[in-house]
Amino acid sequence: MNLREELKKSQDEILEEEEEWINFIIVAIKDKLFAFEIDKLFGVGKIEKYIELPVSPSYIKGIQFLYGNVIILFDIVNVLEGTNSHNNDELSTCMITILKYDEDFFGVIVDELLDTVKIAKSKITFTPDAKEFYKGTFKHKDKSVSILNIEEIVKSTYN
Amino acid sequence: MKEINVLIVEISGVLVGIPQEDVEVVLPLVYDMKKTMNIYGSSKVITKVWGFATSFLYEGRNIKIIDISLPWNRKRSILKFKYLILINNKNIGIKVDSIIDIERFSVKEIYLFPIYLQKLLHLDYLWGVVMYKKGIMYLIDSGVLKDMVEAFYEKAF
Repeated sequence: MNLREELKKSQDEILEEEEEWINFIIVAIKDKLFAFEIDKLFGVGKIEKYIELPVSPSYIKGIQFLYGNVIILFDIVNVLEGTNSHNNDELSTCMITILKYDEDFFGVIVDELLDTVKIAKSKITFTPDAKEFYKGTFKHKDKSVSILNIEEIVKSTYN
Repeated sequence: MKEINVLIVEISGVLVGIPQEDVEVVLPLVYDMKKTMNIYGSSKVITKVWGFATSFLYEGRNIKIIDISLPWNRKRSILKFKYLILINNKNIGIKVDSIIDIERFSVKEIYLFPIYLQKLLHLDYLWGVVMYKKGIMYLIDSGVLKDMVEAFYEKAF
């Protein structure tokens, strides 16, 4: 093996050893912690004056104008568990994490934005099925954080 | 298209905007006349429409009358509908509670209605929303509405 090949082999080994990291934003919804990948985050904002729609399921709280777009206020807990995470009075104190899916912007209603973290892939317990509502879990300050799969959650509402 | 003239109407407490160029004529709805009075017949000039009708003849064309608030599940009296907006070249008429105004909006003021909500709520005919006074107004595409009439509204009736 010449020096050039040796160098290449060593570099490849280093690359394999290097961890892959993912950036997350951790949010609290009621007593539970959830995470969204920051790469997929369009922005965050406060729930301000929102407009209820003439007809909509309970997990759509209404729409709000933000950053020049219509944001769909999406109660993710309602989709996952069938119960409202917040009543209409509580909504005024909530935040939204805005995620883009297809051409639309979804403002996922959360109580608090807690932290942004960089997690090694090896520290994440991934769910075996990519079509689950949760992509996986990881520990943050001794608490379990579930990584939400917004695409699958939105898709499930079409059925 | 830089600006659009919109006929602003109210349907069941919701502000709805219809592009003015889509509007053929606005006819009053009446409830105290008999169905057999002037409203049928291709040769007669129609000046009012029987409020309980689901269709009528207008200049030889069969016009379908649409209540777009039907799927909204709002408890309301049919008698609140006061006008029928006849849509150009579509042979449909939309029942409305009141006519508010005609306003010109810049396309910059109009937000696209999310496709997700269009599909989820079967509101494919809503193409935009625009801030109007202290609320919002939904802009409807009467061409899409016409396409939905057969598939959707006839089931509702």
